[in-house]
Amino acid sequence: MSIPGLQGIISADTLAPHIDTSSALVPSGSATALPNAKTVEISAFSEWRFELGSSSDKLRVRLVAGEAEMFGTELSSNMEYSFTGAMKTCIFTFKGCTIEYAGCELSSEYVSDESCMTNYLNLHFALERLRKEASTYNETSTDKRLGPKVLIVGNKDSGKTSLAKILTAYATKMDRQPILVNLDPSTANFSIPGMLTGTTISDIMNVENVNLGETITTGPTFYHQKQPIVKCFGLESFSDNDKLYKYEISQLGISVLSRLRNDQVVGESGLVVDTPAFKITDYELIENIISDFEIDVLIVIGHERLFVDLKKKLIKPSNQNRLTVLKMPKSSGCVDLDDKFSRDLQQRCIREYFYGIEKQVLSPFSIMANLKDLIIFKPVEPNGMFGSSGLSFLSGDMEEDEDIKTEPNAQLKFTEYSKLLERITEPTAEILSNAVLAMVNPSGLDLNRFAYTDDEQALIEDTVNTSVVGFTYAVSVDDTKGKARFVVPSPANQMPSKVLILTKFRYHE
Amino acid sequence: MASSAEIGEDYSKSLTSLTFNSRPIIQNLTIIAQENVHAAEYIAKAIERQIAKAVPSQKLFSFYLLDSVSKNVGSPYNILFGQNLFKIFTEAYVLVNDENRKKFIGLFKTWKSAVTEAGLPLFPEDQIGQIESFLEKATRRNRSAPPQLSVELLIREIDILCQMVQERLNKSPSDTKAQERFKVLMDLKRILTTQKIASQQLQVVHTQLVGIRKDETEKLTLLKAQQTQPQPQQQQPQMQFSGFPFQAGAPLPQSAQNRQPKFQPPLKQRQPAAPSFSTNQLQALLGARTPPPQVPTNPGDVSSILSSLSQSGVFEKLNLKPAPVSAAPKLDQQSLKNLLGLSQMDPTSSIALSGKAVVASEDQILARFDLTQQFLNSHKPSAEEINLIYNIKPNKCSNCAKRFKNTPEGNIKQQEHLDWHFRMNKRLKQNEVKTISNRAYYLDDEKWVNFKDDEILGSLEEVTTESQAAERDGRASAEKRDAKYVVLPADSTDLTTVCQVCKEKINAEFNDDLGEWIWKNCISVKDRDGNERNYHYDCYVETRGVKRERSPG
Repeated sequence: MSIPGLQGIISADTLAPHIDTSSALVPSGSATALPNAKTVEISAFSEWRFELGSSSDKLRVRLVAGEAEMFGTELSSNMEYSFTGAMKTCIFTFKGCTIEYAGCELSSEYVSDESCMTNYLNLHFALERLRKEASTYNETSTDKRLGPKVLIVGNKDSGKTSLAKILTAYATKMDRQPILVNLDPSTANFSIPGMLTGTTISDIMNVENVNLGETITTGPTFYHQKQPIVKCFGLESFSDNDKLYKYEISQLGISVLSRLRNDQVVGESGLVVDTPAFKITDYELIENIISDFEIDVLIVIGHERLFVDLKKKLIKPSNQNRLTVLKMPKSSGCVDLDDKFSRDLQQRCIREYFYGIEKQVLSPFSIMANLKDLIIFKPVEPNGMFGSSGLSFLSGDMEEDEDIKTEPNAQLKFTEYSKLLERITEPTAEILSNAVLAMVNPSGLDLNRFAYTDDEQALIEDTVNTSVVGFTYAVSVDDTKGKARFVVPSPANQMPSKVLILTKFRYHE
Repeated sequence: MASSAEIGEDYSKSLTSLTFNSRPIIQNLTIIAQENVHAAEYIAKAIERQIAKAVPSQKLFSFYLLDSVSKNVGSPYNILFGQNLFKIFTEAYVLVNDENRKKFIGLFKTWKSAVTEAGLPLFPEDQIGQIESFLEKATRRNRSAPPQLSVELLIREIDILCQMVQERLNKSPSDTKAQERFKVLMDLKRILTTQKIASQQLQVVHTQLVGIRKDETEKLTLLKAQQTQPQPQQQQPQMQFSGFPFQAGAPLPQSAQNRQPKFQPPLKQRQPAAPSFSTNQLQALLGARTPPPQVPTNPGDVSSILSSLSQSGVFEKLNLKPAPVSAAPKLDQQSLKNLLGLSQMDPTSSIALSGKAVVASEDQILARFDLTQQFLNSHKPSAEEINLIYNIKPNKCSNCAKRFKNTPEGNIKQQEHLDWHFRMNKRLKQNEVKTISNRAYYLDDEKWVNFKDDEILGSLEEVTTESQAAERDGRASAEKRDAKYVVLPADSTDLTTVCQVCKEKINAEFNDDLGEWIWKNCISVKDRDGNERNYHYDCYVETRGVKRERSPG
């Protein structure tokens, strides 16, 4: 096993077993025919659904003729695409196309003409019309109108993320720069799982990447990179600590709305919010999100009951004109993903964060740190004690936050913040080994205050109010010396942040 | 590292293997050419030499290589070959046999429409023009080839047509249609004389004129016939064509009939080469996907028919010219305007046509879409609507499939985008060998809120990395200037180099992190001869800035 960071820099070859220099790293402008390829003809308005079974599978795909797209992102006929590892995906065409593939056996593949793409395209154009109206209005007016802010909810594996991708990809095609928000902590968007993110999609997405595309690196990439804002939740399910979940959502909402107001192109493009599987019992959460992101279009996918219930609850005389609730059909291509698949995907997202993808290998650094110099928190996991009863805390409105801060009863304040994060006073190998930690952006922290205060609630307050600067994981922990070796994404002389949040995710080489 | 001249020599040697038509060899040689762009001048020379010295029966293969390199690698090869393409081509052409000549012409035809990634013509137009007129002469000797289209030719054509219309007007001065046509022709002439029209557009205009000419000839014949034999004309054509649904009703009004002389039987006999399909067939071809074309009694415009034709792929599939008989008589002010609009655009004719047709109504199309449950469930997007996310941007990036509008603004965006690819591809190639990439740290809330994605989209070269360097600065006292360094070439024996701007000596240092000897704060740039030149990073940026100021745009 290679221990990352042993020589400061890790040899790319040992870390990225999937490197294949023969792959079209730089498209030559004419992708050549694949050897021993099979051909699929996809007729107009149909999609080819295919699955790669094992993590060692690698599929090479080429668009031979026609026009095709994957989740709204158009494929190039000059490029060979490669898909690595277990995945279930599809290629859709409005106009008909021919696809050629080779490289591995597919565990499943078929062409289906049952597609919801026409509904999704209608939705896109209807949203685009709103964007256009916003742009037209802004040309003459001093107050700026924002583009549509869309929230997508639905059951597990109902195609929420696919729709979110399609809507943002289409908007990008029309020169928009919408923000894609991911509130599902079990998946990763331009980050690792467990995070709540907002990312401006200003260019074509990378369809080969399971994580939608690359975030900024110091090196060159084939696609334009994306720049997300990342808030740490750290747990796998929102119900594991709904207080923390709500708190970070409202934090993310503030930044995302500021960006919309600050950048006219982005503002007129609006946003698309992807969510975990909410039920009607999570109604309050949905309502919070609607207010945090000023949602004006709510899409319910393939869940009639939820649609009716939400409509009943949300459409009140007070906001009748502000919120449109619509349902969208669930694609027959949606497949239930089992736990193992989800976990493998999570592991892969973490690996790619540090080590990059096949076409862009990254070299993380390792740093030895004294554990006593670090402040490590972990999200509180209320095991029934706090339950889901105390929902009244923090409705997500910052005005109320202020109220809490100025609340004379400091004891209460302490209690509330302590429901979000708790400090790990004695980090041991047992706790830290292979654990992935979020590094809190030091620019939002007053380190002196951190070093000399016992006021833990203030520390937590600062921490939860600050976004993430990056991630690290502990490769080795020496309990006797109180030291640990951390892998960080970029070269640094010391830990980029002294404040870390331990996530529930572990990364194994 | 081998010098550019050496690479050229090596290349020259490998060219001798091109004694038969081998796709793998040509591909391989293309890749070598691509990998050694810095030695492009020598490689291009080598290929030219090979063409010159190869035995006639083998010249074609070297030409295929020239073609492959120009099309697949593009700049600078297409520019280098473009400089004396006429000479290379014609010298070889005269030496080869007839069979090869056909292939030469076939190859040349692909050059006429070939464009670079940036959408510019692959080879300079003057060279292409010269070759074209050369081939014209060369082939005319054997058989009378159709004359080359030119503005002058078209104007002459228009003049003749004007005379014909004038003659008709003299006979029936009250014919408003003829008056209108006369006016249109004069307008067209004015446009042709005052504006630069792309050759594809000339072709379109030419097609129109041919149609008008036929039409006029018939009308004149008809007029003459009417004068000599002044009986009503209605019956004969109606008997002949009662199968046409739109003629089955009452007798056509005189004016309408005048505009439809194409259904006169004598015409058909006179035109053995007339398009092999009728209006009916045309309608059937267009089918359900596009609205049926306007029947001739309707003053529809030509370009909408052209665009619907091209959208439904009739052109490519059947290789049909737009039906002059049906389209030509309808050349009116409107279609003239469309032609005018087209002439400003990139001449990728059919795509441009459909693109143009959509652009005009993007807002109108969007206005159809209501954010209501009923609409979203029931509406079936039409081809025109789907094109809003496809053909409305006809220019597709050859790398990543990103699309661009065919407008000046779109072209600038595409150019920037391609420049970005070029820089990235260059760096990616270097990366395979050396440089280290890292995941950058995320921005904090304030920086993210103020971040502009145009920084990533890259109209500026170094923005992304510099902002990252700045990011890193703030956190770990990373050395900003160290981000700019040049790793000593593996074959270098000298630890010092000289900045080409300030002539100061730069000493190499050993960098522990990289495990390499580097010149700090330094940048390496290839000069025109493909030689590596080192500069202080600051010196390079400064002088480059000066150059930019001197040559605006």
